[in-house]
Amino acid sequence: MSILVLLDQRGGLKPTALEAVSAGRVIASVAGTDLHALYIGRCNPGLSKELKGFGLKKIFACEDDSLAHYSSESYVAIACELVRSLNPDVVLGSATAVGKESFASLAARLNVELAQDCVGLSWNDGLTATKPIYGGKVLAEMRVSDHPAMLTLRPNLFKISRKGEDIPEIVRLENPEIPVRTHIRAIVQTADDTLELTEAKIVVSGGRGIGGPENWPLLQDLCDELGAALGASRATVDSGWISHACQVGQTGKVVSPDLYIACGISGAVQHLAGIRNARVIVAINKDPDAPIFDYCDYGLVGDLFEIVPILIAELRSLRWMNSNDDGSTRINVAR
Amino acid sequence: MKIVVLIKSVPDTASLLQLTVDNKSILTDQLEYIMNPYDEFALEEAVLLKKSVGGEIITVSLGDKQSVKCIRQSLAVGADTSIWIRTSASIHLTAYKVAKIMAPVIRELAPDVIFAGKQAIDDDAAQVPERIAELLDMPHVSSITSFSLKDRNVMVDRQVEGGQYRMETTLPAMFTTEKGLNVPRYPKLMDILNAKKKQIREIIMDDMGDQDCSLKPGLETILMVLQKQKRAAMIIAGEPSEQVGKLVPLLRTEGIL
Ligand SMILES: Cc1cc2nc3c(=O)[nH]c(=O)nc-3n(C[C@H](O)[C@H](O)[C@H](O)COP(=O)(O)OP(=O)(O)OC[C@H]3O[C@@H](n4cnc5c(N)ncnc54)[C@H](O)[C@@H]3O)c2cc1C
Ligand SMILES: Nc1ncnc2c1ncn2[C@@H]1O[C@H](COP(=O)(O)O)[C@@H](O)[C@H]1O
Repeated sequence: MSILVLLDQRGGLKPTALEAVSAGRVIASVAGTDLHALYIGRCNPGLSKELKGFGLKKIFACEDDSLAHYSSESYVAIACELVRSLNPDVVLGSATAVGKESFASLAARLNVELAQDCVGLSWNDGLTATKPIYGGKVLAEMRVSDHPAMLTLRPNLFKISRKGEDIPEIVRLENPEIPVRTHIRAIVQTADDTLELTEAKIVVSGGRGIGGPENWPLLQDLCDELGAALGASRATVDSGWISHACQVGQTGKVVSPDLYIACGISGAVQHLAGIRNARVIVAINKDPDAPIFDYCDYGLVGDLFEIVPILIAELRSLRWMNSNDDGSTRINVAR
Repeated sequence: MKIVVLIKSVPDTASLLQLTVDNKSILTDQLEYIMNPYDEFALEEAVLLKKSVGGEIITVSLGDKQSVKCIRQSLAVGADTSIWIRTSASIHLTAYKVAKIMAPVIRELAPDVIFAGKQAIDDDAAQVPERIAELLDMPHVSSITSFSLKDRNVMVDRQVEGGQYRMETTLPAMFTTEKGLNVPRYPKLMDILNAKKKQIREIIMDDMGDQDCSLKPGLETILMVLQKQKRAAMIIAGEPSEQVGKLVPLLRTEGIL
C-alpha cells in the first residue's frame, strides 16, 4: 500500500506541492501506508532537503534540463509509467492549471476516475473527498474507490506541516525522452510569481464601484501594504479595465485567501462563487443594500475612495510599529 | 477543416439550487438551462476559424432533453450540424463515463480540430476534453486564450499560475477554452429561424452498447450539502476613520494582520 504525490513545480517546488505532500501525510498515517513523491523537472540537488520532515519515504526524481518546463505529454508519460510499476492506492496532486490538465490525461491513461479541485480529504477504510460543484454552491462528499484513487487539491487550503528531520531517499528515474507533439515556445511571467491570485493569502478586489481603470493604483497600494494579490469583478474585466487573469468568480478564478477585501463589488452570485473558501471577507460598498453585505464577515458601508486611503494609512502606521530595529519590516501574514 | 465543438447544457449560473430528499443530487425540474459559458468561447472560436479557412462545424452534446435548447443555440450561432447523444434524465454519468461514451462518436467524425470549454460549471469536473483527447490519441492544450493556425500548425497561449505559456502543436488536436479568447456573438433572429432547418442527429445512449460503463462505481457521490448563502456580517458603521479604526483590530484578532 502507498500514496504517491506528484510534486507541482515551476522552476522550483511550488507551495502547492508541499500542501499536497502534507495532506498525503495525514492520509498515509491514518491509512498506515507509505508516502512517496514524484518530482519531474530540471536537476534539483536540494530536493531531499526541501522535502525533509514530511514523512516521505521515497522521492522518485526524473531530472533533466529538457524537463524544466511543463509538458503534458512527457510529464504524463513519466507519471504513468511510475504509477504502473509502483501501483499506489492513491495519487495526489495540485489543482493548478497544469496539475488539472496532467491529472485529467493521466486518469484517462490509467482508465480510472478523478476528482479535481478537492477541498477536503479523509480516510475511513477508503478515501473520501469533498469537492465543490455548481460553482461552489454545493459541496459533494465523494467516495473515490478506483485503484488508484486520483485527486487534485485546491491550492491554499491544505496546511503545510513539517515535523521532524526525516530525509527521504531519492530514487532516480530515467528520462524516457518520448517524442512530444506540443512544445512550449515562450513563457511570459507576470511580475511576481508569489502574488498569484489563487495562492495568495490576501486578495483585494475591485468592482465597477472603482469608477474606472485609472483608480487601480489606489487598490494596488492597498495590495502592496498587505502583500495581497489584486482581483477584479467581471464587470471591470468586461469593461476592459483589467485583464481577465484577474477575474474572480464562477467564470474567473476561485480564490481561497485568509482575507478577501471586496471594494465596490455588488456581490452577484457568480462573483460569490469565487470567494466561498475565503476565511474572512470584508466588503466596502456605498450601497447598504448591496448583496455583498449578506455574504461578508465585516461590512463597511461607505465610499471606497474615502475608506481605502485611511485603511492604507492605518496599515502603514501599524507596520511602522511592528518594524524591527534594523529597519526591516515584518507584517505577519501567516495563516 | 472539420471542426468539432463540445457543448454542454448546464443550470443557469443564477439558479437557486435545492437538493433531493436523499441529499445525493440536486432537484432539476425547476431549473433553467444555458450553454456552459466556457463552451460559448469554444463555439465562437470554431465560427471564427471556419470564417478564415472554411470547413464544417459539428457540435456534440451528451445529455437529456434539456440539451435541445443549447444545441439549437449552437446551430443559430453557426454550427452546420449537431449530434445529440441522448441520455435519460435520471442517469448521472461521471466525467470518466462521459468521455468514454463521447470518444467513439467523435472519432467517427475524424475532426481536424476540437474545441471544448475548460470546465463545465455544474459538476466542475475539468477533465472530459483531456480524456477524450487521450482516448483519440490527440495532443491537447487546456485553457487557451489565443489561437492561430498556419497550415496544420497551431500556436496558442495558455494561462498558468503566475504567467502564460505560448505553445505550438499540430492538428488534429483538442483545445479547451478560457475566457478572454474571444467575445461570443449572439445569434440574430434570422439565424435562429434558419437554425430550425438544420439537422440534429440523435443517438440514443442506450443503443450504443456497453462502453465500459457498467463497471465499478469508482467515484460515487455519497452526500451533497448546500453551501450557506449568507455569512453573519458585522456591519461597521460610522465615519470612515472610525470604521477603519474598528476593522483593523478585528482583523488582528482574526490573526490576519
Ligand atoms: C454566466 C455568467 C458568469 C459570470 N461570471 C462572473 C464571474 O466570474 N465573476 C464576476 O465577478 N461576475 C460574474 N458574472 C457577472 C455578475 O453577474 C455581475 O454582473 C458582476 O459580478 C458585477 O460586477 P460589479 O459588482 O463590479 O458591478 P456592479 O454590480 O455594477 O456593482 C458595483 C458596486 O459598486 C458600488 N459602488 C459604486 N461606487 C462606489 C464607491 N465610490 N464606493 C463604494 N462602493 C461603490 C455600488 O453600490 C455597487 O454595489 C457572471 C455573469 C454571468 C451571467
Ligand atoms: N455531457 C457533455 N456534452 C458535451 N460536452 C461536454 C459534456 N461534458 C463535458 N463536455 C465538454 O467538456 C468541457 C469540460 O467539461 P468537464 O470536464 O465536465 O468540466 C465542457 O465545457 C464541454 O465542452
